[in-house]
Amino acid sequence: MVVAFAAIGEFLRPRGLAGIFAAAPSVAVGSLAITVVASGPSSATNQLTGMVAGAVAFAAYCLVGAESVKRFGALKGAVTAMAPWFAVAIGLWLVVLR
Amino acid sequence: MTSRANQPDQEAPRLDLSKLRTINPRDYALRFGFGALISAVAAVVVMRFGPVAGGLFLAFPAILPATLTLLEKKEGLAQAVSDMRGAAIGSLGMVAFAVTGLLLIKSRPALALVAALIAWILAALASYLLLRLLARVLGEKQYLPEIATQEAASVIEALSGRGFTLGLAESCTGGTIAALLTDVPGAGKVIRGSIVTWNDETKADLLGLDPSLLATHDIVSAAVAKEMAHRAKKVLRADIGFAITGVEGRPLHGQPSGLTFLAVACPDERTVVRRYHDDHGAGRNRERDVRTAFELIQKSLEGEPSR
Repeated sequence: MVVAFAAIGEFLRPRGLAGIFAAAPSVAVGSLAITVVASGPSSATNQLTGMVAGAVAFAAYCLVGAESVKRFGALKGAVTAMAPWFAVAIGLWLVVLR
Repeated sequence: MTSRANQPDQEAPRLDLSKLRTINPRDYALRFGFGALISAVAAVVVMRFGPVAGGLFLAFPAILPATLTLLEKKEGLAQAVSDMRGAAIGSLGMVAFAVTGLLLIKSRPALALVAALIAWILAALASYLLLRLLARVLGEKQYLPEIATQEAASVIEALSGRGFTLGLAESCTGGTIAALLTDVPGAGKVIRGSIVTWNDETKADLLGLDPSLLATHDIVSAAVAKEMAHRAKKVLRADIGFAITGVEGRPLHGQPSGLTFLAVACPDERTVVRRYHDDHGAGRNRERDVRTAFELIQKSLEGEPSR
């Protein structure tokens, strides 16, 4: 899935549209399918609950990332923006989901 | 010199199959590796903190840093920033994926992931189209190429380090190079000024170019770029003069779009000139112009004794 979405993102123009595939749930699809088969739907339900919070954190990551990439360049900017992802994801887990 | 605003996200959606030639299996292997790594991290977190905490990592930005770094290398920073903005829109689709999956996984586990994927693409595309429409209605335009502040800062640092001042004469870039350089803290100590000349008349009036030079040479030529650089140095009383003249957007007097000359008049009276003629469209041409200008100014400082 990761490779398939990366390939679509590579060929699609304009880049803003291709970027949608950079936010594709490629890791989630594979992991959830394995979880359903191995542990049943109940465990997958819990993971999806966590994923809702993770997706909100991902939105924060992208919003901060668009500015930090512009300012620091791609690698440094994309890595810097992980700080808000951890802050939002762990914050929601601690405050809402735990 | 003509120019258009840079509007990378207002072009029509299409598949660029020319990218087939640039496919590198290593790039995909790298992203696959990051994806696998994060799946493993999620599994470890599930074991240590439970499935809800593990689920957070199903929406971790594991692949984006690698994707953006490769994109910056191949197509420039502006495209990487556009990709990140697209990912921000796509993140709404990711929320839709998780919510749909959550609603269906218990009752219809076999269909839940397919339905979630459909919800993802529909939500992401709808958000993208809505924002695109809004941008068009509001007339949003992006005038400056997206160059990392660090790139302009390195020019200012190089000038400061050697104690030189810079004067600019810009034609096809319309002041963009000066705008980016003067955004750097401390630029006031090394940037003397910039003169934007958009036609023959202002090149003669403001820069003092000899009208006979303009009569005997193309406005986009090495001779004109050289003279603009020397005049910028003199008129702005700077140690170094930089100039750029080029054709952007559509051919001009038989000269093709993309043809550009850059010149630097060095402190020791040497003149460095660079020419290129490849055309990538107005927006990306300008990004290249700015980057080449930064590189040429820094290169021309090599071998110059500090003041």
